[in-house]
Amino acid sequence: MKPPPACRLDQVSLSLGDRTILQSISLEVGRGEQVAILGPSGAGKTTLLRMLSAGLPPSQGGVRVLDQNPWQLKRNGLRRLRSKIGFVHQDHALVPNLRVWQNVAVGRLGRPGNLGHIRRLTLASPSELRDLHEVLEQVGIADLLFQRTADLSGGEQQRVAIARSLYQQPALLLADEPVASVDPARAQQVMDLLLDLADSRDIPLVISMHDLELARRNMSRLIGLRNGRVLFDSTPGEVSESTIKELYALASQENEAP
Amino acid sequence: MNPVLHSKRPKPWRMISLGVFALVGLASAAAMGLTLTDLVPRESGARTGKAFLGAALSPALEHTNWVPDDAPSFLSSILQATKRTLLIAFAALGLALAAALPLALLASERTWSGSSSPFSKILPRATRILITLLRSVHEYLLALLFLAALGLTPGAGVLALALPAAGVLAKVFAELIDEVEPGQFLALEGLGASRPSAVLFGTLPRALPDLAAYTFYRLECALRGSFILGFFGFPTLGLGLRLAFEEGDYPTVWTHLYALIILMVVFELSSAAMRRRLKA
Repeated sequence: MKPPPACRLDQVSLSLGDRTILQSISLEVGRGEQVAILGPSGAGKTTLLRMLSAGLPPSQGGVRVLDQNPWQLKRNGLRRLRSKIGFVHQDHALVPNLRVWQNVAVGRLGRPGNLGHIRRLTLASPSELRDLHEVLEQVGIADLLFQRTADLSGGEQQRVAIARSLYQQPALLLADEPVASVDPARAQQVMDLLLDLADSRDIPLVISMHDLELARRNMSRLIGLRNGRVLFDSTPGEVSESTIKELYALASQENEAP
Repeated sequence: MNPVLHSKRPKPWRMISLGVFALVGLASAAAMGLTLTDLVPRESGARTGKAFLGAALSPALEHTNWVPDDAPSFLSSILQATKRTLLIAFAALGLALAAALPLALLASERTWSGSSSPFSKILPRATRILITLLRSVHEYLLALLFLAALGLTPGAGVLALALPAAGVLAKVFAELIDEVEPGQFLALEGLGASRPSAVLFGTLPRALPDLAAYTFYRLECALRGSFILGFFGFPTLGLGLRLAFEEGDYPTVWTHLYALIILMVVFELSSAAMRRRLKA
């Protein structure tokens, strides 16, 4: 029997007020897939990622994440589901005046325990610190364990954010524009890191990005999003230059329209 | 018609209302018949003022009136009063802080954002009412009440300072917590954290330097408040100052004032150092 997909959207639409953000999107992300979501700014890439991460309920349509319907779950069930989804935010969403290890340790706040969390985030045990150190080692910044997060560079902070997601031991990894503000050489480094981590854990990876060439080189599937609709959903080889032109050109035309 | 032009048009109400408020103030002063000549001291007042200021350079270092032979020396009694002033202030602010943090978290909008439980409506409102009640009575009025109810005990003084301080701290803490951008809070909720732990680890740490700075300021207020409690008979520095003032013993008054000034300066220097460490 074929294993169920990690995420499935079925005719999903989202409207906020009179603005339509997503329009009848249907797609599946299989176990182990590596997907890039492409599209101009405002196309709905971040919103789509939030749908896939059970962070935002749709106005219409069905959502299944890790074989569960998040919006039928009770609060605790939703928390447990979210605890298995790693999401690397574009702005990293770290607490600047906490130490690096604390920003990584919050990755497990989705697990049961109340007073235990307070203890873990103030006085980590030696074995917990070893785990945190190991996760930071995997993203290449183990020596920053006890640094104040605000003192880190942007690239280092992004690695802390990735480490926090890994510390969740996720079954699905999502990253919102992880290479939007880095130079080409660094962008490839970040892609390599995310791909390696997803590969070694055998979990699906979904990344939103702008850089078509980078996506083509690295990802096994490209989804083009324009004005909340899927324009294409195929392997890198199948996406033609004219399709790409359409993805960006059409959108800019429509943005300029009164 | 362009809707943007109409929706975002800035309104000058704030500036106008500030100006109106200032005019009301001036009108009130005029209604009382207050004039500039009222600010010039009368002859007797000028004499007292001169005597008082003249004593500033010669504060008392010994008892100025008769005391039993086994009484503690003047300076050691000043030190004792200083110590009691400090103790009452610290005890009051410690209690206030212990009460204010949970109250602030309960009153904060962030704690309850997106919650559908029936508590999410009742609890924050009830907490805000409690906070307002705590703040509504001035500490010196409370001091009189507790003096009547509990007698002249340190507990009465501590409570009188602690209750309003708890209210003010809780109100300001809740506001500071709600001012923190929600990004980290939402990210923590997104990875499965409960709302309380998302506030505790996503929001509270960011507000902490401001919370600490405000707490230091309230501690300064508590120190001054503790001094003034002496006016009601509590054995802090204020008591000695009041007694000396009533006797016209200005050198002794100045000794107490200098003790307060030194206390405030030392406190300000150490709290500034602590604030720098917290910000860094």
